[in-house]
Amino acid sequence: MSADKYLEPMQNVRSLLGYLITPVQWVSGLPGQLGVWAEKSAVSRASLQEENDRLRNESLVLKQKVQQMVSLRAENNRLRELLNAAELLDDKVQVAELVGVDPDPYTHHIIINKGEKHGVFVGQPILDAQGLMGQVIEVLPYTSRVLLLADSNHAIPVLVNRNGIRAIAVGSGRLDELALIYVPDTADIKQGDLLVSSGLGSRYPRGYPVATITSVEHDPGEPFAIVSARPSAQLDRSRYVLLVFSKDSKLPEPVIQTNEQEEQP
Amino acid sequence: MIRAYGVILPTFFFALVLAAFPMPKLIDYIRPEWVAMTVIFWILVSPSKAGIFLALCMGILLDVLHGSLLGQNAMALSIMAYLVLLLHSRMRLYNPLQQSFLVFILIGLFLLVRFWTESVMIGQGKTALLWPSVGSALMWPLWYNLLLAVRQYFRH
Repeated sequence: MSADKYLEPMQNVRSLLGYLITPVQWVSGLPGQLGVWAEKSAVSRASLQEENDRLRNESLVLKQKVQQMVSLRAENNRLRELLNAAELLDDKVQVAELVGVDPDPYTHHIIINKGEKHGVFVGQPILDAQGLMGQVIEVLPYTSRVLLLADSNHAIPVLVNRNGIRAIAVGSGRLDELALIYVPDTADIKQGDLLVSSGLGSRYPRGYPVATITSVEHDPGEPFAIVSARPSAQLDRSRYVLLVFSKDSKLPEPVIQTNEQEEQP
Repeated sequence: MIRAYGVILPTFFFALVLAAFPMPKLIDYIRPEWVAMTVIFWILVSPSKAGIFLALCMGILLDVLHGSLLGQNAMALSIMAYLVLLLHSRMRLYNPLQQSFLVFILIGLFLLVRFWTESVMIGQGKTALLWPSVGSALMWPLWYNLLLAVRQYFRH
């Protein structure tokens, strides 16, 4: 056990044993897959048509937004160039499917069907369509284990989208709640504020929605405000998740070399 | 010997699947320790073939399955297997109710060892002790008879 905790090569042993355990995970996910398959094949034509229409509308709306995005991003990058900040790049993503949920009721782990063979690495962030879900904590050959935001062992640096106040969102152990810790009573955080990942800690890419504030409590007996938030991602519902291959998961370089230029004029 | 493992290993595969099977949250709390129960069963019926080494291997597989530290379940299962090896001749004579009670104790010990190692290695034990043992004790007669039927079937 100590070897596993402190020695790096044990990851290979685990990964080898993963070949034995993958069929187990596959079989235990089978009834769920069957259910999905049955649902897919038993759906009526009318509802398919309806869904098709809805998706087409959605796609149209999204395309319009993307058009705007292109010019906005170009403008943003130009402005950032003026500030000598690193250019923001698009992140590459890969779709993965949820194949299992950890049976332990005291942890929130999920198993996804992409692993070492697909280039997944430990610490990789996972998204769904609505926001950040968590990060990869263990990679087996064909599957990997994801720690969800709501796990009580998880914390993520966030900032309030409205005004940029930084905070840390820790999991509460319940899937629909995160808690913000060390928030001063005077901080300008209101109910309904969107929290986005701040990219500090260089694990998560910045700018993805994490949660919305559901309540802010000021208790005179407590040193900090009690703030709780609801995760944007559907932690208990998403079937398809996105693996992010972040190109710049490192912090931007500090801007020091520009000082000489600024002094001249 | 090899034919015996042809029966033993598939039952463990089945137990591992049951251990990873998604269940409603409420049932999750009393989810029996299928793998540990299977270890108890095989040591009970054929202590010459199943033993501590088998328990160790299955424990390591269980560790990989649960994503816990390698060796946590393995150590707990081996200790439990040793106890079963000491007890098996007595345990065979018990009636199902007494056996269930003994399984409750054995699984409880297994979970307790896991809890201890967890709290030493991680600093915080998160294994529930009582309810999974109760679940295992309740499922024991069923599981025992099922595995016994499987064993009888493949013996001929």
